[in-house]
Amino acid sequence: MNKIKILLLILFCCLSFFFAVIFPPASLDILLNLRLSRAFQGFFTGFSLSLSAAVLQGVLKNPLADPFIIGVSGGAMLFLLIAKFLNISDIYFFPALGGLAASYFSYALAKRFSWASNSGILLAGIAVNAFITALITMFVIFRKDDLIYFFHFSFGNLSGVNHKEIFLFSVLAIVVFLFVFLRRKNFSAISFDEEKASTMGISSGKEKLLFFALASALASFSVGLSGLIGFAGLVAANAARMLFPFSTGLYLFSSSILGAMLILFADWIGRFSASPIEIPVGAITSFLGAPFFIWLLYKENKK
Amino acid sequence: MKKIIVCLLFLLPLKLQALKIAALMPSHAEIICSIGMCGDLIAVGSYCDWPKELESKPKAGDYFKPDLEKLYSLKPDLVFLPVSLNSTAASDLKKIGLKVIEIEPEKNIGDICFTAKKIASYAGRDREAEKFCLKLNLEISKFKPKKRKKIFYEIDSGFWTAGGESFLSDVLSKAGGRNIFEARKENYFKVSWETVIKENPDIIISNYSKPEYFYSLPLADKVSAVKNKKVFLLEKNHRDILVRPGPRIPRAVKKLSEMIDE
Repeated sequence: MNKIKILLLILFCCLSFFFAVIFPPASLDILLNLRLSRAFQGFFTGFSLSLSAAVLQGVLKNPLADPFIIGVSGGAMLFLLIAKFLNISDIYFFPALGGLAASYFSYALAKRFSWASNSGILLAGIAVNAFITALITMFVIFRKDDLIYFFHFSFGNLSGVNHKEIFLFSVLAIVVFLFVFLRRKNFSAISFDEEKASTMGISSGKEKLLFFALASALASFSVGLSGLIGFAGLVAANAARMLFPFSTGLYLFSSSILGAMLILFADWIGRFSASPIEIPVGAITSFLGAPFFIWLLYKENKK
Repeated sequence: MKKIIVCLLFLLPLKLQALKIAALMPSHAEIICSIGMCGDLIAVGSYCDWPKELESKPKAGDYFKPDLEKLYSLKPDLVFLPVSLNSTAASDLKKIGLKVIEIEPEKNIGDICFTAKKIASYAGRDREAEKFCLKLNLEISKFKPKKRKKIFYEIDSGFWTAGGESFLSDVLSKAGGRNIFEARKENYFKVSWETVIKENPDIIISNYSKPEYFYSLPLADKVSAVKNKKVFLLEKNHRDILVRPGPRIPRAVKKLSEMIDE
């Protein structure tokens, strides 16, 4: 049964990738130089956001966890603004650093005050995000020229034109996935029972920080490259848990693939439904993701 | 007879008292000054920076979010605002008892004249408005492009552009260009580099991105604007002139036509 599910997932993902590349038809050089890189950008953005969400949900044992809740989105926005302010031309790496810094800040806050550790991080994240949003608002009030730029950043952008960055990002996504996948035993140990994990000789604190750091780094780089694409990670991770409740490896894999599929599909719709106008991918992921999520919850409750 | 004279004496100060007006939109303020009413302005919007006389005027917020307290205390007879679907500015000002004149956003250069006439009609300055219109039309009619070149205009970073019914599109066409997305009715939307390549513009003008950015994009060498090095970044002062449907529009047309014909 699991095998069929996985095969179907992979098949659907390949199909969305294929459609995203070849429809609507265009000349070969456009397909190769623009569409393919855009599809890779979409694939790895979705892949990373949902892998990150899946890891965070496991580590924090909370189905509400998502990279955007722990401060990644706010931190990236803030650093993007600082980059504009200081005229730093690099707008990919710098925002990613911001996401990382903000999520680490949430973690450190929760740890420092030793709040009931798992939901504590989420609460700290919410506070950090709120504070950063306030900072951003104040900045933007005095730099109105940048306002529209932030508005655009906040619903994502898959342009597919930054070949080098897309390539580096793909490598990072694959490396992080492999790392987490190979360490899935530790991951499942701390995500089920921390006490038991410590009797197995796993230092749950260290392990947790490691997974937390990887997840937020991956999400931060994805935001740096593609902007904020909401809801994809949350939906994918929850759907994956329902599909494969008993296998950590399959949970991680299917979450990543589902997220990639959702973003590829959403970008495809956004690109050709009102052509030549593009509907930003973030708007569509939420538009499709939210009803799907409600349906998932409904189905889960009925069981 | 005496009574009539006394009455007239009472009425005189009323007639002589100047109109007190507030204009929160930069283009409205520019038009108001061009029809000789700069002195009547008692408050302007925070973006209003031309002509120089406006710099010393009290700033009362902007057309999207006016400073209600300030306007209330200055008590203008008229407040000019653009018709806006997504701002409560006009209704807020009406609620505090001010007379608000809402002006339709200009869709083309010709509409600037309507705005001027509308504003003038409230101040009995119809003649000045006529003169203003004649001068504007004369200056614009000097531009007679022979051949219209295809233009991609990036308003905001990430390939955001304007459609055919936008003011920008009209200015481009007066300057001898043709907006490659003029078939779309929407005012402001995002496209992709892919569609830009397909439309193959002769000229690319951006408010935001440097020419080097466009040169570095994949398949840039397929686009004739890049091949002929006709990619421009518009400086801020020109950008301001271009987006304000006011008396300086001929300058914007001139600047654009220089870029197009260069």
